[in-house]
Amino acid sequence: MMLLMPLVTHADTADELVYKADQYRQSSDNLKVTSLIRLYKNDKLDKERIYDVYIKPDRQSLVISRSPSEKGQRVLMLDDKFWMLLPKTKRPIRITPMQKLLGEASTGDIASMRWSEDYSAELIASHETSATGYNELQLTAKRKGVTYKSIELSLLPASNEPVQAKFYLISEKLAKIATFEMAEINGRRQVSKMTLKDEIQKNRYTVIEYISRAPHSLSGRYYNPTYLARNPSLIIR
Amino acid sequence: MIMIKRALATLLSTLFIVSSVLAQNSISFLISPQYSGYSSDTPFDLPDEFIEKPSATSRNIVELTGSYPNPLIELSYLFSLHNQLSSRSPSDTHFNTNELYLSKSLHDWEVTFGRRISSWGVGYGFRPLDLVQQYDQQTLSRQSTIGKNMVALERFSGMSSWSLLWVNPNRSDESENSDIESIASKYSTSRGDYDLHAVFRYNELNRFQLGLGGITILSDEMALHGSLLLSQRYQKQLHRLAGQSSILLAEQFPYESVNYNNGFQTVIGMSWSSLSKHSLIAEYWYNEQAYSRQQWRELFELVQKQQNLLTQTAIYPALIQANIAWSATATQAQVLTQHNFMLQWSYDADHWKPTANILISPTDKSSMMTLSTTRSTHLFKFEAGIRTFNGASDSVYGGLIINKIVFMTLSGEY
Repeated sequence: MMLLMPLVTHADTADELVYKADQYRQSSDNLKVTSLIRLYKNDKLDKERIYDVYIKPDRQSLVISRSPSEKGQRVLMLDDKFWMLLPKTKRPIRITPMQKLLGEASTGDIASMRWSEDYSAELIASHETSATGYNELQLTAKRKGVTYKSIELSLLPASNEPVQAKFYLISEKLAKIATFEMAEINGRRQVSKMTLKDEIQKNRYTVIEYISRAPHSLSGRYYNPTYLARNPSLIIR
Repeated sequence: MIMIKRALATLLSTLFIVSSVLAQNSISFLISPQYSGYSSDTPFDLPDEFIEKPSATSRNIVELTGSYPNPLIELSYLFSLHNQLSSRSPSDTHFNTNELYLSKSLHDWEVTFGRRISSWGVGYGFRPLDLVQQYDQQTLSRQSTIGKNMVALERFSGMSSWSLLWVNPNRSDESENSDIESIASKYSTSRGDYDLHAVFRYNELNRFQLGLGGITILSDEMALHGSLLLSQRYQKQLHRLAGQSSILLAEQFPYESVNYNNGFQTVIGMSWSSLSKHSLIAEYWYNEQAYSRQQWRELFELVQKQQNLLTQTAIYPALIQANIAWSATATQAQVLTQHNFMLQWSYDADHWKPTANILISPTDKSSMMTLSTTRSTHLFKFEAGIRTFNGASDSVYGGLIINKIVFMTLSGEY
């Protein structure tokens, strides 16, 4: 009887693998993440910034800068639409995807923590056949406004922990290579640090340290562009 | 120098004490020293005793922002302490309540009562839709403005919002124009690549005002914006003696507010940014409430005749000089010219962000140019630059008494 049963085990699709890898960065749909970003130049600390990111499902993120030099600056991302509020102004301005990329830090690197929402995946080589011993996936942007056009993602075969990610721009130029540090946080294994090595300006790298992650659901009005200028208590807490 | 040191010490002590006592608040500071140069080649030129021409000034501001969220009602506030130092006058320090309001949210609705800052406009150099309060877009040191007293009912739903404001409900008969009692409303919505705004206001001075504006994202790099405001009535401060040649001197302040019917203000512009880190903003705006070229010409002719009187006669020089000083009042308006073209370039370099901005008055070929650079560290933001006013002596920017400002700004928020 046993011999008659088909020898099929459920194999995760490439998209499912990416979804599982995402859980190591964003384990909850509604999350407040505080990130410390350190930019190094020639191995010396060049810039330091702190951001609070309030993430909601359906690609909604509110990024609030906490650094003294730009405290009060906020970026609202709703799907592929972006608004920015500059300190000392009460007027949110709609900005282009390119304006979002400019400035002190690429807010795209901290605001979006789920590749599975932005990219469709294809398994290029399984760990059995790949030279690295990891599952190698090719991620292609399925939406407008994402920071990178494609990503080459390496995942540990058993756990699907992210090991390395190569980020490519619209011009297909390799922009950054990310490596990940894992740690036991709040009783579960999560990404504690992401190091982004700049492949265009090779003497630079950025370390994004996730200082805290906590389930946090903001009222829907905070994701209304007009309300962006109206939440002083959010800046302070 | 001792005065500057003393003022800085006071500001820093205030910063330290207030921030340590009120840890739940946010405190910011701004120190903005400026050096100004003055032109002698302008019809408005006068000795220092008639027009104050300080070569060095410094504006120092500490702001305290905070709110006490409460399930029943939320209190929000923004207070500021201003200190102005000048090489020509004594130090001036004053306190402002920029914002102080209570708000209560219920589902999509929010009610606000108190003083609040409102900004409705679309655009960079000029924003006609800022109906509740106007901002000086050309200021060199950005600071919080003083809000308006209001009762507001607002609804924030999905990607749309609607506001109904009763502004300055406590207006007295002595209220200035900017503080007149008004009913104002705004509707905003975002649909795909478009953000659209419609505004309305009614008050006794301007009667009905209706405005429309929006921004559209054309590509990853480029956005287009524009707005238009129609006013049933608007006012201009006109010099009674300009445009005639018989009387050259007035015995009292010669400006009067003149009503005009059916005016409009409009702005159209684009912004462009690229991966190369270069950004451009180009804007044209028309403001019917500013002086026309003809009105400036008439004022310049009057002032030139007043200057000629000084050299032709020895009678009443003080009266003539006082009249020239009065005439110069028009150059202090926030918006000087009807037709304006602005071009701004900036580059997001590693640490320094250089910016070049030129505001051109095409009708008299004069301009205001600002070159600056900004550096942000983790703790501070620093900006330094120079602004020059260029053009013939009978043009708007070339005819100003001031011809250059060298400025520096140090700011931070904690």
